[in-house]
Amino acid sequence: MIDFTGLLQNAQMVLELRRNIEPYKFTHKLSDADKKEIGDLLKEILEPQCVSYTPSQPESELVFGHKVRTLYKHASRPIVIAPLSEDHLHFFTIANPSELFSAYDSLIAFEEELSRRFTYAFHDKFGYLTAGIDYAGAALTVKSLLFAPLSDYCTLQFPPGMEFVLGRTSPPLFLTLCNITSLGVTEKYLLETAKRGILELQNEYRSAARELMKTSSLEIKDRAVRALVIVKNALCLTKKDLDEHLPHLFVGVQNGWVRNITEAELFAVYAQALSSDPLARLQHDFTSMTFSP
Amino acid sequence: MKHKDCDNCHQDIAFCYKYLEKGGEKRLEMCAQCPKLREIYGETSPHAFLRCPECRLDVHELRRTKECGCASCYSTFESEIFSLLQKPASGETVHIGHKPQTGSDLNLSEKISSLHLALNDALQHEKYELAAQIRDEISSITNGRAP
Repeated sequence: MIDFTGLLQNAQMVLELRRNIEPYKFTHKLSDADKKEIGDLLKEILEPQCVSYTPSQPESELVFGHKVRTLYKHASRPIVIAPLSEDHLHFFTIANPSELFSAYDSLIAFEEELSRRFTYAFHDKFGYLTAGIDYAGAALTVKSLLFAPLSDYCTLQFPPGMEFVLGRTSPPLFLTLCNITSLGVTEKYLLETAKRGILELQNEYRSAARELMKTSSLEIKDRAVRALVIVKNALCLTKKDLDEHLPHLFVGVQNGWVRNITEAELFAVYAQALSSDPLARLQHDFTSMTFSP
Repeated sequence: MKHKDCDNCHQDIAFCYKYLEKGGEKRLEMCAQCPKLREIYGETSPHAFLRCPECRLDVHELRRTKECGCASCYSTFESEIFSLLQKPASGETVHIGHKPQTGSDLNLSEKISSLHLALNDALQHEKYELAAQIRDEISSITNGRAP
C-alpha cells in the first residue's frame, strides 16, 4: 500500500499578499526613476532584517509563477518578499494547513511593520489596490498545493460551492486550489475556506489512491517501470520529458518499486526542472536507479 | 460666454472629436448620448472615453488587460471595475477585511512582532515553557483582531 503519512504527502498552503505604495503608479506604469526610488527605499528597509538574492538573469526567476527582480528572505520568519513584481510588494509565505492562521498573523504583522515607513494604496470600497483588479480587496491569495502523483488516474470531485479555481500543474504532481477574488470576504473566510477545501480534497485523493492500488496496481506499476526505463536510458532529459515521467517515478519510489533514489532527490530534480530553461538539460544521473518488482 | 451645445442634439457638450479632412482640422462637439458617438466609436457610454488623469490608462486597455495603472484608476473607473470583477459568493461587492493600521494599532502590531521574535528565540533555545507563555500572550492580543 502507498504510504501517505510522510512529510512530502502533506498539503501545503501558500499565502500571497500584495501591496502598492502611495503615491506611486503601479509597477508596469512606473518610470525608471520611480522604480529606482522604490527599489532603493525597499532595499533600505528590508536589508537589515532580510537576506537578499538577485537572479543571474533579471526578471527571469520564477517564484510560484511570478517573475521577480530581487528577492528578500526574512531572516527569522518564513516570509519572502518580491519587490516590484506585478505590485510594489509581493509577500509570500508557505505553511502547513494546521499553521495557516499563525502564518497569516506573522505575515500581516510584518506588513504592518513596513507600513510605518510608507502608506499603502487603499480605497474604502476596493480595499488594498493592486495592479490586477481581481486581487483588489484583501489582496490576499490563498493557494493550496496537494502532492498528488496519482491524480492522472483519479477522477476527483472538487469541493463544491467554493470560490476556487483548480489549476493542475504540469506534471500533474500537485493539485492547486486557489481563491479568485477577496473582495467582499474577510481574510478569515479566505483562510478557512482554503483550509477546508484542501483537506477535503486530500481525503478524497487518499481514498481514490487506495482504491486505485487495489484495482489498477499492475497498470500503475507498469507505468512506473516504463518511466524508469525511459529516464535511465535517455541521452538527455528536458523538462518536458520529466513532466511526463516524474509522477510515475514518484509513485514507484513511494511503493518501493523504484530504488536507489529518494523522493527528496526526485524533488530536487523537479525543482531544477522548474527553475531552468524549458529546453535545458538536466544534470542528474539516473543510471543507478533500479526496479524491484 | 455663450454656452456650447452638441452639434447634432443641442445638448450639453461632453466630448470634442478632432479629425483631419481635406488638409484641415475639423471639430465635432457632441453630447454624452449623441448618436454620432456610436458612428465613430461604436459605443455611446461616456465611460468609453474615460482616461485616468494620473497614468492616462483608458477604459479599453482596462477591459483588455484587467489591470489598473495607478490608485487613481480605481476612482476614475469605479463602476467599470465593479462590472468587470467576479462577484463573490457572499454577494458583497465592497472590501470588508483588513484595513491599514492607525497609530494605536501599530503599537500593538509592534508588540506582536517582538513577541513573535521572542517566540522564535525561545523555540530555538528549546525553552518550551517560555514559548508556550509567549504563544498564549500573542493569542490573547490577536483574539480581537482580523482575521
